[in-house]
Amino acid sequence: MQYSVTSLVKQALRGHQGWPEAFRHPEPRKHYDVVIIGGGGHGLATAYYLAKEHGITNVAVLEKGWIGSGNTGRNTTIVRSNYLLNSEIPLLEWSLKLWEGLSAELNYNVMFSQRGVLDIFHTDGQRDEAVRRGNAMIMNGVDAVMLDRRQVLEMMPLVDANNGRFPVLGGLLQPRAGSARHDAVVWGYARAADRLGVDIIQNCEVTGFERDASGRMTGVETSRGRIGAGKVAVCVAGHTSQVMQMAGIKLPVESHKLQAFVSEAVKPCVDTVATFGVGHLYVSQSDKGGLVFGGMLDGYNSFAQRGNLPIVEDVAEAMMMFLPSLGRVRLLRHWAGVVDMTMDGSPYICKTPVEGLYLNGGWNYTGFKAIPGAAWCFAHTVAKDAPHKYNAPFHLDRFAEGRPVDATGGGPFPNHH
Amino acid sequence: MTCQTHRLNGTGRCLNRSKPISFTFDGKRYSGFEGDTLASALLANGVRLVARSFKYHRPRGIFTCDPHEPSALVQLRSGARQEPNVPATMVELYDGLEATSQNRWPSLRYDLLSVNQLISPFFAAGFYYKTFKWPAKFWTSLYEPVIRRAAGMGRLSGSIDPDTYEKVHHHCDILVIGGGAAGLSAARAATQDGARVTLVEERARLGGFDSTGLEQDIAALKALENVRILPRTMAFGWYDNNTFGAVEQVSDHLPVPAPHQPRQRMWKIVAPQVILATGAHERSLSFGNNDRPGVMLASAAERYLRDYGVRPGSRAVIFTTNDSTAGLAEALRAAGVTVAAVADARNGDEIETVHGRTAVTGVTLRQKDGSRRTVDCDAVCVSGGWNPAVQLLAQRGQKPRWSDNLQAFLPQEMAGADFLFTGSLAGLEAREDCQTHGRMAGEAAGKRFAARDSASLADYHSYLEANEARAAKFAYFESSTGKSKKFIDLQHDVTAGDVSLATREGYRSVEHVKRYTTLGMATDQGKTSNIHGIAAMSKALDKPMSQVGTTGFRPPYRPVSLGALAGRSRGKHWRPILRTPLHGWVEDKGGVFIESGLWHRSQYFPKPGETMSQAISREVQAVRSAVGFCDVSTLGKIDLQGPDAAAFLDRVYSNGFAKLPVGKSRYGLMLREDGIVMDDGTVSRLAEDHYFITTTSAESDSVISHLEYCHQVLWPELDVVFADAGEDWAGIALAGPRARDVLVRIAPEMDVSNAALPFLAAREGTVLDGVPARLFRVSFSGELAFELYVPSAYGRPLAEALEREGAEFGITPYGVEALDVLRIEKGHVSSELNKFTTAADLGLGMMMSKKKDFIGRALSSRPGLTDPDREVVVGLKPLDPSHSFRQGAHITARGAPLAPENDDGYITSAAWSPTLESHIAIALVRRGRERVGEVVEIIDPLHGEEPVPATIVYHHFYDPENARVRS
Amino acid sequence: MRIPCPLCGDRPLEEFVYRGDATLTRPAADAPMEAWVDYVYLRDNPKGPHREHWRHAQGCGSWLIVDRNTVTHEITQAIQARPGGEVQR
Repeated sequence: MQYSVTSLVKQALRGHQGWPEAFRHPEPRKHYDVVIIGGGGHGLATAYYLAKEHGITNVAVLEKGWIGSGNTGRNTTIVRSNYLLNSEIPLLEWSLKLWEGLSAELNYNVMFSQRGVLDIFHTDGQRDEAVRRGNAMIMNGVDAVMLDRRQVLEMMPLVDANNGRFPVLGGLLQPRAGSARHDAVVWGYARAADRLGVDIIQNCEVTGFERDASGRMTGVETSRGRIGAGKVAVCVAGHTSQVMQMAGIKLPVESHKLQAFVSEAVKPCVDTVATFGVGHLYVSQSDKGGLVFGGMLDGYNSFAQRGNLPIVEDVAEAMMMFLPSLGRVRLLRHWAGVVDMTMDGSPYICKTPVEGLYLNGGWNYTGFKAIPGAAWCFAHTVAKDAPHKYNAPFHLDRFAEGRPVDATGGGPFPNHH
Repeated sequence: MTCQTHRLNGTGRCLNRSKPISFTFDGKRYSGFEGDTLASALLANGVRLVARSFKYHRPRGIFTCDPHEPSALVQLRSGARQEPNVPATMVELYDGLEATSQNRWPSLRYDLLSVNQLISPFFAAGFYYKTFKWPAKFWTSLYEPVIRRAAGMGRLSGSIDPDTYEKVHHHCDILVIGGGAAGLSAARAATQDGARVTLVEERARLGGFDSTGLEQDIAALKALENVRILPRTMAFGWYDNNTFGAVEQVSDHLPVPAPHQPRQRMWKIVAPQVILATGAHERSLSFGNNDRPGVMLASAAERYLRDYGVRPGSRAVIFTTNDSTAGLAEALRAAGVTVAAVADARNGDEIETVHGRTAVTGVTLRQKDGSRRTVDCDAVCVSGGWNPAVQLLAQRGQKPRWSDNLQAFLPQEMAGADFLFTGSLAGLEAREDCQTHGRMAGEAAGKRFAARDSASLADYHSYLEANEARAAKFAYFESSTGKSKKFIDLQHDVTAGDVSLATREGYRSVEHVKRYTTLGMATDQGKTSNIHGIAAMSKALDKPMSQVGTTGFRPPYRPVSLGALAGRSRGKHWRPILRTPLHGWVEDKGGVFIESGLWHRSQYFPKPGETMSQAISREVQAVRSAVGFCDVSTLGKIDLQGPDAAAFLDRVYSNGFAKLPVGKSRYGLMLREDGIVMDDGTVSRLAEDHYFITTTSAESDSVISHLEYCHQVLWPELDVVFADAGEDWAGIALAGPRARDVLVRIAPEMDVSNAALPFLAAREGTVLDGVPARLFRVSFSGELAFELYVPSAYGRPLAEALEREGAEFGITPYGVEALDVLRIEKGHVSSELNKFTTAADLGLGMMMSKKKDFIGRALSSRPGLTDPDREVVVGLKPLDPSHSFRQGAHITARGAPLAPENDDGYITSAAWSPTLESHIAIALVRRGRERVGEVVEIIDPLHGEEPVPATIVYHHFYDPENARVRS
Repeated sequence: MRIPCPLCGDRPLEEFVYRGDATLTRPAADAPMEAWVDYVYLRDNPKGPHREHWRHAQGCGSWLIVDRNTVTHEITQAIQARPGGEVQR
């Protein structure tokens, strides 16, 4: 059933008894043309684009828990394409363009809110980096606006410009950037993929790969039995190393945890998504009224979806330096996601050394915003057995070649990105 | 002032009736007593309607007597101390207290957005996802702003929080969380073997649900020396290795904090063992209009009667499923309240729906035989049983276990974790059981403290098993009939119907239902609602409760103010300010400071009437024509000694050091293992086995860490030791053609002639009157120059001496701006070491030794790092010298359209060169060295500027022959 | 989290700086390029027991080899990285 004003009115009058399931709960079939491992935003969107853009509809998405249970459902939902390098901007900008039409395309309101992302800088060095980045964005057709100190304070009136340890010098604003409702992205893609014939199979954990004599992928072993597959596409943020290891592939990845925070709901007080160049703080306010914020990685390998106090304190301290009127706002909840940190801070969206096995992973902090664009490119890569030009730089051989996509210059230390 | 219509005579264990207190709610004045909470005082005054719900703006009253009150949230205080979303149940009344209702307009009674109730049929779960999509741009411009204004709860003051917060580290042997009957017994027993015990209790008073008769126990515990009791302290988080976060509400019960007292204090508690006695939360039941003001938990009614001398109404109906309400009817009657009906679900009786809008006026009862009757009443007391407070434990990732016998989720043992749980958290009910088992837990912990593995937990376990085996709780969550909304999550207006809609739409996981309906995401984090959501799912999916399971619980146990989590690290105190030994001198000279990492460095020294750029140019010219000096104390300094020091340096620097003679300095380049430049600096050999290294200011810590790694991990066989000497030495660069003339006077005991101290010479000696000094003839400015290091305490005297002795030669102090201009003119790289560049990119390829292995050597030969297309360091001069450059501007070929493939690089350093009388820049340019002489365009579309034509030149603008440094 | 520094005792997480996998061995100078790429970039990244390098930066400055479980964060051993150093279990 199409979601529309008409259907909504009709259903409201009938007590909402007639809404169909947003997506089916099918039993797995014996064989699929493509099996996608991981029912997060990337996996579901990849299925959707395989069906929609490439006509490949005999597709299953296998999810070991419930769809969206990984990082898609636990991130701070920032969507932006304010990147630095010419090798990375096109992918993120394509993603942002897809975001702009996503609610209509999926017939599901993902609440993409273009309230802008404002990167505030505090030192001359950070300003120079912002200028370099803003110009790179504009050269790539991305919107970028330089704000002076006064303009930053107008956008973020709660920022204490006078008493902080570091001054507020200005900011780089991307007006088209913003935030979205994370769960809606999962459910919207799931529903749209399901309507194109994709089977979404929850509570189905992949336990092994099956390959023929030539080494080609032929299927997967799962907790619900063997499933044959023409191609296998992996989108399992947080556990990419573990899944790829089943195919004998060791990756340039470390799993770390990143914490996220939400406060009690208060009336609107932060209208944009703001990041602070010192303190590694980012903050926005959800439509519900909760302040959503985060900071740095905890910094050590971890698969635990819970954080430790030092980062909690760090983030609160940064909040209180920049936004000291929030001292009486209460933290409602904090949690952690397991992120695949890579050796250059950039993802892998590529073919792998195993024929028929494809990888979309290593998203560091940045997976959510990339869901539409990366999944679109990944579907292209799977369907054509070759990357699209947008994801061509994001292959596994780039380290051997000496061509990392390293925007922070952090080098081969995943916790520095 | 209204009178306390609902106050009883005589009762009220918490009250001090001799101290009346005056307070206001929504501007209206009321009175209460010392010991009241805001909730009890409002109830005493007959105030029912205190809040509006989040979504439908339905009228809401006081539902609990608990910290996790979901409905009665108010805005407390005014001005900068205004605090949103405060549960009235936790506010201790003080004289002059101001509270207002929130999330309503124009008033609590007449809230315009209560129109949402009328259109609530459209507002079912998932409503937002299905609508507001047409047309797309209206979401951001129209729909969303309306939704945002309607959402949210309380309002912030917008002013800086005037109160302070502090933090304490605390270590104890056994931590007891919860000061009810079980916790008190456990704490006391735990001390018996000498353990230091700390007990935290979130409420102001110990004793738990009913402290009657516990007074002696409390006094006895307080008298023990090895017990610390922290009331008003809520353990909010349980982190790795038994590290707990707790917040003490030091001053929230006062109008303002006492002088020098924080508002709240965060405790970071480390305890090898913990006993959880966090109690249980009474649950409500799901029936029509169960959210009306006047509907209240039975335990709350009991507490208000007993502890606060407040009756919940005049005619009450009790709706229950269990024995915990056994005494309530009697207590109500004793208080003069008529008990109009008792609907016991175990007998098949239930409340179908509640009547009344802003207050309860009656209920429709449905009896076992199906007959209905309406009963007039003004209070409904509900008990659906008790939920053990497993939230803190569940933070460790433990999934609670469903017990059919107890009809509740219970904590489980967890492998490898040192904790015990007791009291109603463990499913116990009777106070005697809680005390007995609490004692068992305490004794076991005490014994384990005294001698590990000595305690048997057999009794502790069997006691709980027996209790559970005995229990036969009645399974009942929702009334069987009725069309009115049955609320599950009172704050978020989630109904039983929303849950079943979600499951019909395919959202079958408990997490999906939570997220689709927002169930359990309110300020109480599901403490009052989750169980009913699970029960509704169990019914809708026809699955047992145990298979539906719970959602994850996360810290904090109860919301914690950001102020408390930040403590004193705010404002200027967010991070330390690093000051050099010359800081005070620079201040006295009127120097301007600039942030540089955590340092405050001298930026420039303006003379009266001078602009910044005038000052910088004057400083530069002084160095070029006479002499200047600059504070370089922020440079990292490392003292390195040992027979293998040379071998060690050879491995960590790309260029060689084994052949560096004693008494010489050499510029060194340090790479990361991936071939990217990490840092540069000078290495000076002071003796055969003794080196002095400088690093950049920014990387000093990471270089130390890196060198320690190389030494301790990679090559422990090398006999070398080093010390971070960063804070030991003040450093001053003395530069300019007259530098030697000044130095002669400063260092009379050293021979500083060109013959004795040639370029790159390194000496130890004395300056002034025998002050030990290290003297290096190195130059960043391109002039004859020296770096002088003296013990930090002599930094200021040295600066003063330089100023005095150099006056005759026109000596001028200069700051980091002039320093930067000088090095740009000279073409030294600095900001070009930006973590993107290789040695070759920087024009320093010759520093990559081919004779030895070193960190970064192997991977430097990868094709991507040797690609001729890489961006390399060059200089830029504008065709028109007055055209300025901006750092971060990009470079394109002349006339090339604005496109990424035409992006030829960017400017890393730019300055007005007073020496060359032109703007100049250093840039990283694709194939730059091949393009010297080419005219390119400098573009800065971000600032909307016209392209500036500029010529690519070698970046050594000034004295490329290097003659001046040797003069 | 708390790390048992062999020299300083049980100390809180915030005093330490993390580096990562301690099982890697720097290749010999003449090792092939693949060995260097593996060393610098590839990680086992185990879910479970992990041997890793930490530096007690705000303490004694020692580089430590810590055996820690990446799921439970339980630490079973911490020793000084340099041979012959102290061990803390």
